[in-house]
Amino acid sequence: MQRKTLFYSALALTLLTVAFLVVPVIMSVMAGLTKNFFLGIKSGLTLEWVVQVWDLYQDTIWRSMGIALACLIITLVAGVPAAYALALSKSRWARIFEETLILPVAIPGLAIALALIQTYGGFREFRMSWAFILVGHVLYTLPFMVRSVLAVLSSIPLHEYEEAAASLGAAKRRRFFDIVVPNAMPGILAGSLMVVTLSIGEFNLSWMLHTPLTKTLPVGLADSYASMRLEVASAYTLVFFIMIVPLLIAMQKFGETGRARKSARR
Amino acid sequence: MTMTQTGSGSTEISLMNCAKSFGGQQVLKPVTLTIEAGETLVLLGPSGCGKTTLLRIISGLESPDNGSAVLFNGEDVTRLPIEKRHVGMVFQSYALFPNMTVRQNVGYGLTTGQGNERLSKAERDARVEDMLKMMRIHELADRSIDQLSGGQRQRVALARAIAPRPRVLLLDEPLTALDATLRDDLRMEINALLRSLGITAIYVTHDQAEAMALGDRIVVMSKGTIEQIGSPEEIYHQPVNMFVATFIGATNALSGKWTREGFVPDGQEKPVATPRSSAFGGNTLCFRPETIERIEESHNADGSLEGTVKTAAFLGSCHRVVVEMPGGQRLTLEGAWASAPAPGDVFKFKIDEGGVLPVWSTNQ
Repeated sequence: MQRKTLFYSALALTLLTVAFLVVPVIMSVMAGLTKNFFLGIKSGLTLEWVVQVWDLYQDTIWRSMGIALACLIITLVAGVPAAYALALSKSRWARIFEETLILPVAIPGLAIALALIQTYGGFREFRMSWAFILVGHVLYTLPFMVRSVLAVLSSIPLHEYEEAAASLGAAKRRRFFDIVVPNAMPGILAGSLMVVTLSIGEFNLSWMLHTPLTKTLPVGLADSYASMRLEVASAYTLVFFIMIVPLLIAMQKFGETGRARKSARR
Repeated sequence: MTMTQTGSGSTEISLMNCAKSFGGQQVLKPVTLTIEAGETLVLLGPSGCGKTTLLRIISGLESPDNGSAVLFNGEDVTRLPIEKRHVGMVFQSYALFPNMTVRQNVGYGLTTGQGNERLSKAERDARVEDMLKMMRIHELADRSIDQLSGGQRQRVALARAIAPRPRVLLLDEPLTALDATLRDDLRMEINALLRSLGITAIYVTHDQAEAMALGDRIVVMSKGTIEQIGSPEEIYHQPVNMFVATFIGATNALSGKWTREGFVPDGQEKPVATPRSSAFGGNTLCFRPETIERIEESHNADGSLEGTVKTAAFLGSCHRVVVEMPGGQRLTLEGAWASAPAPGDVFKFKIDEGGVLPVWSTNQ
């Protein structure tokens, strides 16, 4: 009897918490779909605001996706070999490097952005292009890629695979592509999803680094909150949701299968 | 089993002053040694004796100290990395690639173009097929590595190592991770395989039974130096020192002293029948448990020894007793005796004349 009471009160608390978090989401989505937010649902539903967002801000959406993709490519090309080198190295410097690599995560994005502007702001073309934002995003997301790949590489007997492949005549490059990359794949995929998600949602850095011509989606979102009708801003949130939620779900799914595979191996 | 020739014929390996230091400490003292073409050489010793380091120097995974040289058929390969040496290697942990099937693992060494061998896809497939059949893992060909048992994994590892027809096959404790029965089976199989391939092979182990069964010659190592090199028979019957005598097989070290007449064990007055004392020294007489002759209690014989049976066991093919000598020392003795000795019995015996090992110790 007592157990039952405990169960139901726990359930109630959980539902309450979920509701506390979910209701604003629903409100926001509804706001983006109603004709007049102040009149409420009875004013009728419409896609007008979404269309308006698309017309006004689609450049920010494309730009965000472009930056996220470029960011992913750079973090893959730089991050995977870096993780490989770190996993193989036993030197103290490798450990120190590994620690410094996570600094950009700990330092506020605003500070990084300020440092970038102070240092490179003078290069006009660079300052005005979206590549400037990209640099900030790479700085911020690279540690996530390296960490994710490194975690997988540290959990397998990488040294032994390396030596076995070498004994079979595979030079460094072959070993990297034939053995390291395929075996690091769970980490590479998890890291990739993380990088894309973080890049699309990144605001602090982007807000400091953007120019009126290089707005990203979250910057545009802030802009619409400040200057547009609430309905338009909410519709914009809806668009953002549609982009980011599938990525989050994929990340979650992937984490689960990764864990399941790991425990199956034990 | 299909006969498969090695690509480059058999390779002779010469090691010249091969030494290795880690952080100022020399873990391998300079070794000079020639491994004949087609020979199976076993590096035997307790852990930390330098045997694995020596194997890794031969493979190219470790580079030796300056002044060392490794020659394959007279060609200096000291500075060649492992991927250019065309060696086959079998690891204790198998080190099979989990991202590949059995078939892909076995075929991997054929895709790297080592040994200047360029095979067409059809040739590669045929070679892999041969290997799978030879190692009797054909039905596992398309399985992934985590679906295999330990013994199966070791077969795959062997097939993978020999598929590219390496100049030399290096095996680093390949059976240590397996259970006892499987180990015996695979040991015999590896033996037959090495003979049929006629490949130069170097086999590292700490298990003396494995060394005896596989080696044409055995190199006994301890603390970074070679103690003895010889055939299994030489190592067993003519150990050069106490370390080799006690590491290979069981050895009794009877304490006493040498006189003009022969060896007088502690607690006894008469010398035992032994070879001439001039060849021996120290204050021990070493012999194997089975190099004795049991004597009837009533029978009187010159140079016989006697003690009291402490424990007795029947091992199937022979009896084994632990006998306490008058001096209080215990000896382990073996033989196929007509009557089973029992604890408390008086056990009378004579050491075979040829059975005394040419080793002794003086620090008792």
